[in-house]
Amino acid sequence: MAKYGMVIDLNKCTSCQACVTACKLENNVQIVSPDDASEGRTMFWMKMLTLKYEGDYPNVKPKAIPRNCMQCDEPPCIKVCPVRATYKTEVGIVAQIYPQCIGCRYCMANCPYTVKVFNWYKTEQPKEVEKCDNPDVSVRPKGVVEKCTFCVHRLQIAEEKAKAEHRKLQEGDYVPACVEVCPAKAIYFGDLDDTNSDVSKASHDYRAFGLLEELGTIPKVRYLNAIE
Amino acid sequence: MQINRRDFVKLLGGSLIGFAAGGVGEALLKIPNSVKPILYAGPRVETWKLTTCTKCPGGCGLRIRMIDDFPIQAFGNPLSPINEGGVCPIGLTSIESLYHPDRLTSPMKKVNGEFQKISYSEAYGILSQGLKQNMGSAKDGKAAFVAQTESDFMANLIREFMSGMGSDKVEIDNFSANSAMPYNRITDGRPDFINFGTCDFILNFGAQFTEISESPLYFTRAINEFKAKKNEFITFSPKLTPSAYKAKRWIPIAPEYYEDAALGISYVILKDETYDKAFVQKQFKDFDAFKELILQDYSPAAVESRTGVAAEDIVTIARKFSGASSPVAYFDESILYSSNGIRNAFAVIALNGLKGFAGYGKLKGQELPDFESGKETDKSKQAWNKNMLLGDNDVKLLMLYKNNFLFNSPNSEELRKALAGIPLVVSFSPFLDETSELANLIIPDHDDLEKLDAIALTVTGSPTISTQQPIVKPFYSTVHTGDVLVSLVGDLKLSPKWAYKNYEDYLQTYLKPVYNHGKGMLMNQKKPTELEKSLHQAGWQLASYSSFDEFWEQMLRYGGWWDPFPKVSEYKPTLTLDKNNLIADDNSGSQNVEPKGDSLRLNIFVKDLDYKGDMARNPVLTEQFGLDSNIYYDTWVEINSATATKLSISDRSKVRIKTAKGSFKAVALHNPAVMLTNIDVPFGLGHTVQGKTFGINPLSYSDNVFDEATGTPSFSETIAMIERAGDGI
Repeated sequence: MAKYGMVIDLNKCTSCQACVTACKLENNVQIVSPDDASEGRTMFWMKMLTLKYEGDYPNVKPKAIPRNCMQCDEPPCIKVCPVRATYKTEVGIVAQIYPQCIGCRYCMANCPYTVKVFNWYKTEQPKEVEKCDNPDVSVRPKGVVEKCTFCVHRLQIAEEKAKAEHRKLQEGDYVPACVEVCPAKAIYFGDLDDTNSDVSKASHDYRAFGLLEELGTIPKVRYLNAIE
Repeated sequence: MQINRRDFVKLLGGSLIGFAAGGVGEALLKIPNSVKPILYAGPRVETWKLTTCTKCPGGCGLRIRMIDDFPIQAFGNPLSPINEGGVCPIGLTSIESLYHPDRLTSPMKKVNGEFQKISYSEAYGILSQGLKQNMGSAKDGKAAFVAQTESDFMANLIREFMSGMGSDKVEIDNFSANSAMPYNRITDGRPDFINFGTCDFILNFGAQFTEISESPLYFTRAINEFKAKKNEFITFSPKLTPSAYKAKRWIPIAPEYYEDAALGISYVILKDETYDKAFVQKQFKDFDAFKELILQDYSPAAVESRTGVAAEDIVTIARKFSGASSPVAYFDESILYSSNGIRNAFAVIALNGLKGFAGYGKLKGQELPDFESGKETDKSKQAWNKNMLLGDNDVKLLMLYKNNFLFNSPNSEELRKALAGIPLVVSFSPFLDETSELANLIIPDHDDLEKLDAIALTVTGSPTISTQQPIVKPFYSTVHTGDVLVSLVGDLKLSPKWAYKNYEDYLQTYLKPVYNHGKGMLMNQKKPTELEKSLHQAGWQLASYSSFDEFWEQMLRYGGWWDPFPKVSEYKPTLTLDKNNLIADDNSGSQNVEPKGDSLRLNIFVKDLDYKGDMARNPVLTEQFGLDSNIYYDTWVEINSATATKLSISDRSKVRIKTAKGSFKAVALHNPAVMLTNIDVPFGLGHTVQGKTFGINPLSYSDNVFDEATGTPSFSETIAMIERAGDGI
């Protein structure tokens, strides 16, 4: 069974935010109103973060990273869910059962990466966007927590297609939207257990690191450090 | 006039007939509100179509996902040689304007200050009559045209149209043409591309390669590959944008000093005598005078005293530049956003000349349609721009095509008054915006997904024509502006040999030479296979079409054509540069902004989520605009932490920015990468007509400073003060 993971090469990433937009549109993530945004209720499953600035002016560089759910192998969010609404699938994706979620937000509090967001209201997109809903992805109801799923609906479609073609799933058949659109080809995605896959090789690169690895969460989203 | 929701619903009534006639289906009658039921109740057949994004000059291929023939998502076309499947945020959201509730649904004329819907034939009649009354000679042109388009084909049609009208009062804001203009004035043509195969050093003057450039997606890949080969890339710019921090070094500098920096580097190369002597002897006209000027005024110490860039850095960079085998000093349109923009560009061109333009390449032969008439216009020293409307009482008819200059110019109030004095202002904008709302007549253009167009590009080193095909039939009673102009030229007999039936016909005529020479391939496969390479070397062509009609059909179906085996040559232009190109005359309007005391420089920066101030009508991009600063739907300013401490401005505190034109409120962000003398403020928010009003437009608070030659507004020559806003904000 595959174990899906992602490696983001910060040498290649240009902070263009295409991954952020693609994620938003692919997963019908709510665009919030200015009032909600001012309350800190924006909803991004993928976000660009500037962690810090390194060096002294003028030789200063921001350390910017795209950050989505780390799909931890030891997910702290699962451990605190009182109703087992979040779980890890057999391919390693940390999934969410929306109808089971009671909106207690313990998982949000226990996520060290702060990648989970809460639906405060019934989803209602601006008029410009509501016609562009992706029919492959359900809209989450009010009162539940949501986060990046590695576009798991694409895995289902890819598996069905491969099955129809009487073949096994191949590398590249299934990629999340952020990976597909990245202009810099900075995001590697695939089976971390397949030693021949690009993502597996990248995850063992000398530049590879994970966010807050010291917590023992074993993130399956890793980064390649930007170096000159 | 702002169309509110109720007005919009009223306007929809008139569009019903159009839909029925178009045969698109009854459910479309209620567009946009009833698309959802169709999506839920239809047979749910998924189809894909290929087209091209024309929202910036990049020409990226798009794959449009459709459910029951309704576009719902846009992705990159992996077979496009430009973007290879990648796509930027603007391209990803290109569906949204199709369904936008603020779209204009039919022609309108203003009666007693209010817009009223009219038929296309009535609108065409009004425009046609206005044009008949205002034909004239070039000197006292009564008609003027201000446009913004990245399609060279559309730009050329507008120029031909205005030429027929006998007026040279045409300004076409086109990124590629703007970038080429300085080259066209002092050389015999612009280089077609950076030769990344050989280029080993790039000195970048302000270009935002990966954000807003001639092809951000191509440059994203090319720069990454360039750096992966351990080549060096240095950027001079006033803001540490992503393109700047991807460089090995960022040299902070105010834009009006690009000229000094480039000539300071030239000074070192001339002193060291490391320039390309063969080139300057043969191709550099009046080189001795140039050399004398540089050696007199541009020593590194003198440049340091003017620009703040350390003399040591100038020397080091100059020696790296001259020591490289194929260096490139690069600029694009962005260099013009300064009071001495054109002279900045000339200085960078001269610097390239010292190394024989070694890092650039040129396509040989007739690889792409040639837009000679456009080039001739741009060569003119007297090129017209919209600022010349001020005080021009001859103009009686002004046409506007997607150029919202009342938002994009600091002198919007003056221009607004000038427009008020023009008897007939005609807009082809598909939306009401700050400029089109002043029109007397609007003939709205189709949405990009409803129309035909093309983008020609050479920046990748391969000639490429990306085609935009109509993905859906027009939803409303809108008309392709190209079709309107083609009809007008014919009906008014503006050109003696005009035989085009419509814009498609016009476009096809340009592309027939491409079909005739039989070179290149359609975008129906990624890269030539090894077998195809061998066949090409043996003289075979990749073309697989048997007639022009077939070629055209496939051009549209696959999203374009390109030549993977271009004939390229070195770029060795004749460079005609005299002292006057580099020295400001007394009436140039140039100014050196030197903040004193607690005053700072207001530096307006642009982000890749916005292009020419159009973002605000797009909710996804507007929400995302402040993502990296974590300030949403509002204006922020960035200030260096050291400067902020000196002025007692706390991080994320509310501040007031004061300029000579007034003051605005914002949230202050400490940023250690901001120039010590600057307050950086983003451009894109603050629309009062288009979309919803969030934040402020910093150009409204900028001094009326323009590039002396092109009328391009300066984005960074305004003095400002910053102070804590207190509780009153």
